[in-house]
Amino acid sequence: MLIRFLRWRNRYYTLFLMAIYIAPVHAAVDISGFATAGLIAGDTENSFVSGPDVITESAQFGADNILGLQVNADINSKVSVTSQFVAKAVEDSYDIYARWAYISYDISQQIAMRMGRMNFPGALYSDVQEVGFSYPWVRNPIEVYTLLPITSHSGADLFYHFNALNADWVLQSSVGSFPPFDAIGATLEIDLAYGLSLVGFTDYGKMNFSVINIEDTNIGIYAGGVELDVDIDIAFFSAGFELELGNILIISEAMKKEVKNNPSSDLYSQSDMFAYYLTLGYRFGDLLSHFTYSDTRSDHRPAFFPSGAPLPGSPPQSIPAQYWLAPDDMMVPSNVELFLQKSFVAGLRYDFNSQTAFKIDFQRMIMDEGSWGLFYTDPGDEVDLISVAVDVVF
Amino acid sequence: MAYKRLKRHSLLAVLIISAGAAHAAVDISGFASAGYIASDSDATFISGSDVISESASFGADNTLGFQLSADINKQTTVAAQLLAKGTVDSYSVAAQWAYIGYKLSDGVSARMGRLNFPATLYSEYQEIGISYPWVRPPVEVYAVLPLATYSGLDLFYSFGSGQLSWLIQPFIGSSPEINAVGGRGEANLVYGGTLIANLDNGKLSLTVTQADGVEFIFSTGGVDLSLNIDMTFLSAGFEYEQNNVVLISELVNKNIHNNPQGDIRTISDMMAGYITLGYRLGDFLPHFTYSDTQSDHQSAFFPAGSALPAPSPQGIPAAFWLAPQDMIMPSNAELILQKSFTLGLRYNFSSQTTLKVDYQKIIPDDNSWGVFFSDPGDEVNLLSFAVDVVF
Repeated sequence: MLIRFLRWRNRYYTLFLMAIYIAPVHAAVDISGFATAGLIAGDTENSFVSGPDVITESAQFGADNILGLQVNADINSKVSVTSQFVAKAVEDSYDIYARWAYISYDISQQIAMRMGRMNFPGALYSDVQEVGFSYPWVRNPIEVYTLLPITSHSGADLFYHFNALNADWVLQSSVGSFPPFDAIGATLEIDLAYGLSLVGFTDYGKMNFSVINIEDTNIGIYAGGVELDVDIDIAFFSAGFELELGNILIISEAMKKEVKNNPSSDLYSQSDMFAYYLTLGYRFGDLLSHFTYSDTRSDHRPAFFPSGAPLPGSPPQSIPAQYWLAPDDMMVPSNVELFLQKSFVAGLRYDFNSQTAFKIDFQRMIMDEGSWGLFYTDPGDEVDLISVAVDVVF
Repeated sequence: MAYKRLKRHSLLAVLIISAGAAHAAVDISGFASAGYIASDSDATFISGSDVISESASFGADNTLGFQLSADINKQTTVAAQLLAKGTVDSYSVAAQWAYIGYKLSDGVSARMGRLNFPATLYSEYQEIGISYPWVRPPVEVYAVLPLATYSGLDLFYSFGSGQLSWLIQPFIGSSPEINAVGGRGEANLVYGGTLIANLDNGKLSLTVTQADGVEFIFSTGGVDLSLNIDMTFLSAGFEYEQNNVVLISELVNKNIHNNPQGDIRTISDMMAGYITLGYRLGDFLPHFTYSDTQSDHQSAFFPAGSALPAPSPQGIPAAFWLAPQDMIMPSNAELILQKSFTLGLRYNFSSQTTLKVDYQKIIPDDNSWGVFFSDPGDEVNLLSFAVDVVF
């Protein structure tokens, strides 16, 4: 029942309306899906990180291209299997992955549990991050959604559903691990992740609070032909809401990342940081115009090392000191660890019909002094991007 | 407007063609497992064709599979099994099976394409947890032959009826490169035959397999090294159930012949077996398994920096032919010497859902790391939990 409630809520946000029943089957298999196709123009010559993806100039077409199929089978009134298959242009060239593959069990009307691979509940749009149709922008505000570049984990979670203060609430506790996966241009592996998330649904919108701790996060970064490991524990705190009052839409999220370095790390990462955004929108019939301001804060700053300069700290065990040099112009911490920038996004979304949306976003990213923001090479003071996307759900 | 209508019609046509519903009924079924492993060792290990590391404490047994079959006509069938696993490329979806089946006559049929490799009792269902009592099939036997599929053709000849029916299955094929047991493997030619007897109370299986030109590449200290071998597998197994007593046993023997193309030689002929005894109590099945391995050979230990056995592979000067880290030769992927005891409980929650818990004690032989990639000590205790469903 609860899973059905959540699925219904998901449906509310993603409008998975149509179900195709393919007979004959042993259980009713319900198939729905989503797709996005887009293009990026503007200052695209510098590669950058966006959520778990790396966007290069060759992805001007393709950066947002995605196809997803969600397949659900009810085994009986309490047990079901849910899977989400995703093919993305920026992830192994459209190879198909099972982003979700979990078995759920309704313990009672209020309590349900899931086991397998499922969405990782870190932010307001974590569970629908790949479903462009479910949010106003072409892609979620990059500063917050790159801070936690993880969308799914292997593990178990427990949902508790209750009503209070004129809202439906879902308290979700999760525990899991991450066998090696590719994200933010590196290979990540996490031994243990656990967290608690509280989501409230009202007639006017949704709010979300999450606390997450991930231990023994291993990030394998290639630099100058050598793989270097960053081994850290990270604590995330996030809060966000989505509010619709008449024609006015307000969305905001704030996320904090605290990093603890483990002794086995090759590199020392000083990358505690804070990111947030505020979106204001106004609906004119099928048109939604919106404006977003995003920013980041940190007590730390990346340091620039020109190609060939000695790198800080003692070299990792396998590298002699005389070779512990920057292989290219680089920042330490890198752009995937600490990015300091702000951005302004002005966008327009047009809902062709209940299953198709057209979006255009104008984004200006302004780097903090001494930072390359989300970019792998020096992007200069500011970068302007125009992104266009078509989103469908079916 | 007219364009819109035309487009809609074309789209409909495409949908009809792609669904194929008008001509062949597509039968979809599926299976899923989700699990958890706790261990008193951090050491990564091999289980079947998978590598289970600490980061897979959740995820090691997570599997999602869809089986699709379409009857083209009375004789011809297309079948596919699409599989996503936590331990294989982070849940990337691959066609584990993809074949065309043709019924030649009553009792004789042929298949061609990518097929399951019929080497052991549970080869066909190795990914479908609900089909066996344990969380995962006994590691000693199922890691000796980590090849689950091949590309080729096979023939089924079935005869007998009533209480005893027989199936003879000759097969031939090759195996393009696959990732398994932490390396990359391919086989130029695989052939053999299986004889299966189906009884009212159980099943008996005998298989002879020859794999020629098996090349296995693994990385050590940043260098790719290759093994090139021919292998002969002999396996025999049965499962039997009478008066609530469940008895399962398998024995597999591996003989190795080294080919000159390999960088290194392997001396890893071995035998592995297990016996499982269970007793069905309604929907519960408590069971106990003893597994063991035997070989005339032993692995040798090389501490980091020590000289590895001569001659060094071509391309590596003798002075650099050193162990990049503590290692054993033959490695854990070649020669597994250990025994284990597994105590498990399976609960059939419904006809399509089971819960399982296994407690396993693995005891590596002296001088062996067993299935582990680093020294696990004298023994390792594993606690595994899984939920399996079919739909």
